[in-house]
Amino acid sequence: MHPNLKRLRELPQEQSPPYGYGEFARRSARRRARQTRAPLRLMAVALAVLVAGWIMKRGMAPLTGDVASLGPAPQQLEQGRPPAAVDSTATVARNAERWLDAQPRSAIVRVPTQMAVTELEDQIAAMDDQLNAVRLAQPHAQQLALLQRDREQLVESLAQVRYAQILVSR
Amino acid sequence: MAEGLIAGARAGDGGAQAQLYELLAPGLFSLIRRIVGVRAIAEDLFQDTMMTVFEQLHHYRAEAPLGAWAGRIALSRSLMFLRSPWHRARLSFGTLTDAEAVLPANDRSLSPPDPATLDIERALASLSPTARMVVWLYEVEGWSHEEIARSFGRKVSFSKSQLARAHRRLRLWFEPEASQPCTPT
Repeated sequence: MHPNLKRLRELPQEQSPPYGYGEFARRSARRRARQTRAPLRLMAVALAVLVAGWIMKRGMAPLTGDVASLGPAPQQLEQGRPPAAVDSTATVARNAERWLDAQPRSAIVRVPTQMAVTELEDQIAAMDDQLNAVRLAQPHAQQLALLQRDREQLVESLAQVRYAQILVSR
Repeated sequence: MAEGLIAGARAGDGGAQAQLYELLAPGLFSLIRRIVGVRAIAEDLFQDTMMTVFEQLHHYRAEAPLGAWAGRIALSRSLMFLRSPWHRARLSFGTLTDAEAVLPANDRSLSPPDPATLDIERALASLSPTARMVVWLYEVEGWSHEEIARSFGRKVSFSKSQLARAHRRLRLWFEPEASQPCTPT
């Protein structure tokens, strides 16, 4: 084995975790709460879908565009790849947000996925409110950076779910 | 690791869980970060891993050290991410060359590394996440090609070729002059 490969085993095995136990417990509780609320939201969205179906059946105009315009297929995504230049999480989030904006709303949705999309959009909106409040109160606070990073992660999660929607709809 | 601590954490004792977190988190985060590279993703996978560790703690039979058992969970989470279609799509959003920012120089959570460590970290970061995972599993964790192939859902030749390519790339990294053709003077 190359001596440098042997050094892989000697790399420091530990680095500070991103947050302490308190924050871990808070995030865990938030995720669990999201999972617990899921059945209720599922029922609500199912009801909304039934109502929408009923309205459409009664001869009203379709609510949105056709299914063929759901968004680029993964191959198209690959072709439309932005220029290879910057490599930060913020850039990914910005590009993901632009991509999300370009996606039309689907006419046919799967309830669990749509539920996740709604949940994430709600969270991003709440995060935007929080960011605005913090910007006004403490323009240079470290909290701002943390919130911004949380928002970037939410945007990426949303892009991930929407991407899954597109894959399924193909 | 103290049996009492594990028993307490299993029983849902917050204090024991906090202590266990302090013990396991640095190693697990380091492992995930090194494999997936991108800090934000590493944080997400780390959260998943720690939650699974606490949820599955009652399955732990002490046949291996707790750190190693938890490490398998971290590796499995990282593998699931690397195998996901989203991982490939994400590359198109950010053009994360597969070598995004594993580099400790920009990471305040790391203590200042010595130049040799930094060099090997950079070399590792220059590999694609998949190649990095294969190198890590084979060279550090001691997995066989069969185990690696199984975990990726591929054939043994996949693991062997990934490793061979990664070795070539690492050799070029460490000995760039070796790749230069000899020219008679």
